Amino acid sequence: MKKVEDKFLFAYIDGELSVSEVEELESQLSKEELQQLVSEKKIERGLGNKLNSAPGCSSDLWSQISSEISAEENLQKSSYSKTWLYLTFATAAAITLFFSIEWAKYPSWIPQSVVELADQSQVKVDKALINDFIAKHGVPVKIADFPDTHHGRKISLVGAAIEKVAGDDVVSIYFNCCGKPGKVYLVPENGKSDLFLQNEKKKSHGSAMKLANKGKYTAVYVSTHKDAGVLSALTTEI
Amino acid sequence: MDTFLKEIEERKDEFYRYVYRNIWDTSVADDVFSSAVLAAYKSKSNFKEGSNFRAWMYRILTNKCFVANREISRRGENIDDYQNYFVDAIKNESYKKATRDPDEFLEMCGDEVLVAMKKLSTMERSCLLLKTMQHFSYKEIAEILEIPFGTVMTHLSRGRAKLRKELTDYAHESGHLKKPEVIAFEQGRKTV
Repeated sequence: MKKVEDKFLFAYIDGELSVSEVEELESQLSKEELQQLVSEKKIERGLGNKLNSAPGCSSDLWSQISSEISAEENLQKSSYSKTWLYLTFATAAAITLFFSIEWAKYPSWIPQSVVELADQSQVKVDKALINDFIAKHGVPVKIADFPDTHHGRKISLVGAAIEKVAGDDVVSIYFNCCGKPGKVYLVPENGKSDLFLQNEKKKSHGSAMKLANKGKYTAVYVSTHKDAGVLSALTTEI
Repeated sequence: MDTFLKEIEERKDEFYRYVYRNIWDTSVADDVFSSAVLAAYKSKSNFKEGSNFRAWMYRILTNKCFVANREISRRGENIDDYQNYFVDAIKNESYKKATRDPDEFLEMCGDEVLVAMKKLSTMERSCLLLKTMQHFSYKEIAEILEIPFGTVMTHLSRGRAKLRKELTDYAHESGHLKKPEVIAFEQGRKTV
């Protein structure tokens, strides 16, 4: 057998040659050589049969494997359920935390809704009635004349009421600014409630509060609306 | 049952036999086979739909056999050029005589074939098992074992050569076949 053909002889035994390659190879081999390759093929087949006589997978072993896989699947499912449960709890906790922070950011005296303000109002909507209410409580401040839309904000009166701030009875005027609640506290300058509100503003409610001097009174504008400052022009000293 | 597991179940005997013949210590065959099936099941998401499932499974089975045989340097030897071990082996005169009748030769060898198989390296044995037992093509074996095509041929060639030598030696030692020196001696006496 020629060395150059070795690869082909090998592939011939393994049946890896095409029909034409087989024909070509067989034509080049002597009878004895061909006979030997046929013998080798037989030996390979015999070896294959011998090797395949090994035992197969027993049914006991397969049952055991199936059970292990089922257990694995259940573990995965329970792990998925646990993950979902944790995720649900984590989401709920995050939402609660978010709202708690939002709620904690603004003290209870900062209004949360226009409806809430309307409910608290002791006099409602009418500007003259509200001005009378302010005057009746001895505060020398009145509501200024302002257009329906002020600095691009749609503002309307909701009412007025007396509120307790730092133990003082304080006149508070309620507004609706672009659908969001706003109020203006009228507190005596450097009084207990004034100092308290100034301090509150410093603490972190800067964006929700604006202070303006109205003679001997301080008008404190309070709103969760970013533009609480717009309300500052709504009152004027008498 | 999962369709993936059903596919394994359909071929479980074939897979098991491969493991049984590949590992040195057959007492751990159950463990090796179980761990291979579990590994396949866990990594079923890695199997690409439409690709050769059988070859994919054999890759996992072979890896487990390598671990069981503690032969981790499977890729240490990359012989890309086919080397001519086998053709040299079958050209051996004493082998030629022994295999004049292949059936008789195999019968005479009996379980010695299995003993001789165990003497091969795991790579040689894997190549032989995949070819002779499972009839994979060289290309598929190369993919399963993740080695070059030429290396597959060389491992096959060397494995077969070793196997034939072992079997011929056994035939001589067991008295089934006359040793070459005995033949030469007898021929010399006849001449005299």
